[in-house]
Amino acid sequence: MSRPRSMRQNARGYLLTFPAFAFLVVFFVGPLIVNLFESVKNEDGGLTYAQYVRALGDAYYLEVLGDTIVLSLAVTIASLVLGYPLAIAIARSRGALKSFLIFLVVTPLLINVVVRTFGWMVIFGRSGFINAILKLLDLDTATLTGTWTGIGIAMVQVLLPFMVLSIASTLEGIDGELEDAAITLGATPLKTIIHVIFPLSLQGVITGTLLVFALSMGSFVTVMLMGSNSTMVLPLLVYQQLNLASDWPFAAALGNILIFVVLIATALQLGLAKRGVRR
Amino acid sequence: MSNPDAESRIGHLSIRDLSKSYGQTKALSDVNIEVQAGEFLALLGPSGCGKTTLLRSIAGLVEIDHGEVTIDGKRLNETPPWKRDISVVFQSYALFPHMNVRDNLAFGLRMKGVRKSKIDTRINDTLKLVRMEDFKERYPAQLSGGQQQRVALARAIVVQPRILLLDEPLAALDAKLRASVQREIRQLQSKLKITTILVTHDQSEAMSMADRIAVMDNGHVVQIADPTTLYRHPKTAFAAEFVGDINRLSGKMDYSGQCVRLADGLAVSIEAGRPEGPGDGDAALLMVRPEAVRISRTPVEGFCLTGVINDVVLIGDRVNIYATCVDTTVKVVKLTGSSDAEIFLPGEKVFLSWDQADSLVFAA
Repeated sequence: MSRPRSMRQNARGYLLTFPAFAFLVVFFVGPLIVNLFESVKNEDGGLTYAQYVRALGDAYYLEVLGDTIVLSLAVTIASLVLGYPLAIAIARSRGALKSFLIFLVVTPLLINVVVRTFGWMVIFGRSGFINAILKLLDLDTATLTGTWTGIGIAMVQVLLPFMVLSIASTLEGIDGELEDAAITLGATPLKTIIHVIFPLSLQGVITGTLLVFALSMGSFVTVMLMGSNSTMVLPLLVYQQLNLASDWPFAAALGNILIFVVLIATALQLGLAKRGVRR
Repeated sequence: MSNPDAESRIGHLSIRDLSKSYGQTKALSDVNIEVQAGEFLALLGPSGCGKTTLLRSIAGLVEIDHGEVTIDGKRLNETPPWKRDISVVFQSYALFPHMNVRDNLAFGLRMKGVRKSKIDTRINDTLKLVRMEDFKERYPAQLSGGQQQRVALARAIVVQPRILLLDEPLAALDAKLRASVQREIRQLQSKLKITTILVTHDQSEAMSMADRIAVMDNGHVVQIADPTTLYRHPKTAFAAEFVGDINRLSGKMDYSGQCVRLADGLAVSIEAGRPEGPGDGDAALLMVRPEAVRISRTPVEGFCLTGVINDVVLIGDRVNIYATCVDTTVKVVKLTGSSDAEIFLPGEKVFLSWDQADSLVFAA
């Protein structure tokens, strides 16, 4: 009886998505299609996969691709390990403390990427904060600017909020009595987290890792500002091909390879989610 | 279950002077309860009376401010909940949604370090007890409410706890199912002889399941007694009204006449010697159970109230008759078809009376 009405409501609901849908088609799907054509276009207007052969047949480009994936994986894992306890803290706190913790987590997002990166350069630099302390302690100084470690730390800082907030929102949906049940059945708080809380928060963990991984794969400003000759990532390479070499077909091909890797990772993780999250 | 350990786990629980506050509100004040080994005690009270807080304090899920909880003479205050050997069946059942029935039961056994070879046998035995042995591979979401309830119960008893706590375990079941599950839990409990504490706001559930009932109001234990005593001799007006149906008439205490004088001057004589009753001349509440009231068309000897029938409601095996007397409505319950359940009509004038022993008197 209520079906016609609800269908009409649905139709109206879909209609409301139209502006966003149109926007995405024009400014997101459109450029992707253009990008795809650009990468396979021959000089005389025919089709060719030469750009892809060039990218995937060259040891340098493959190494950059490998480094990009390794960096993104490392940033993702570090965000998960650091973010999970923080997500638990946020999910359990109430009132003013909760607001404060959330504010603390999202602060990095409120600061401009260039300013934030220069901040890290000041901290990591040869005569920066860390080295000043190392010197005071009479230890060997180390420079993190221009190294993968430094870049990784800077990226974790800004990507952590995505991990923390995804996990915290699923943790908040878990019935508190499940935890009480585990504890009264003899599980210590740590075992309760391992056997009950973590498996039930997998959905949030997967969302968080997908977000952080995809964002790391596409991030290049941090690498551009903090990196050196030995730290090259794929998106920065794309940027250079576009702006410095003006090789648009090759930049397009590299961009598509990047998108492809992220899509594969997403598919893998969603497959994992289907197996892991059974309700 | 043929476990030799089971005999040695006797499970005598005592709660002494237990208090707990949340900020300014006192959830529990000076609660004292002794629960004998193997006894089934119900904590009965309206929502917010502190019964759930008391249950959670026993389990160790709530930190208490004052007092102590002991099992078999051993103080538990410093024992964390995972070492207390106290199982809880929660209102939401709290079955682990990512584990099937077998793994839900195995969880507690694994956490308590039961040997692998024994785990399967114990799970099978326990599932047989609750008639769920064919559902081992099912996930909680694939079970009905009643089945989930039984799995929750099985998960709580498979670890052979010293105390079993039931937190409104039947609240989510429909009325018909509830009655049969009540009987099942009661039978299982007397078979396994596990000391059990049931939290409920449903007086009929407490009456039908428990050996003794602790009535709670506003963080205090008002009375602890077996169901019959509680029903016949409630200690306070609160207990009298919370357990079963009761009529309340207000009047004044008159010790010289050994009676309560109702608003219209009618004297209802009461039994001698009520130490906890109100003082002479004080306002008093006179209470009487609906089934103790006799109703007739002609006046009877001794005291009787005159009233006017305002409603007659047949509910299956019983008839509820409502009559307006003095300044209140008196409910009378008769069995359908019993000799004195003549069909009265609204507007009829009737006479109500009851035995002196059925009058309960409290300070107003």
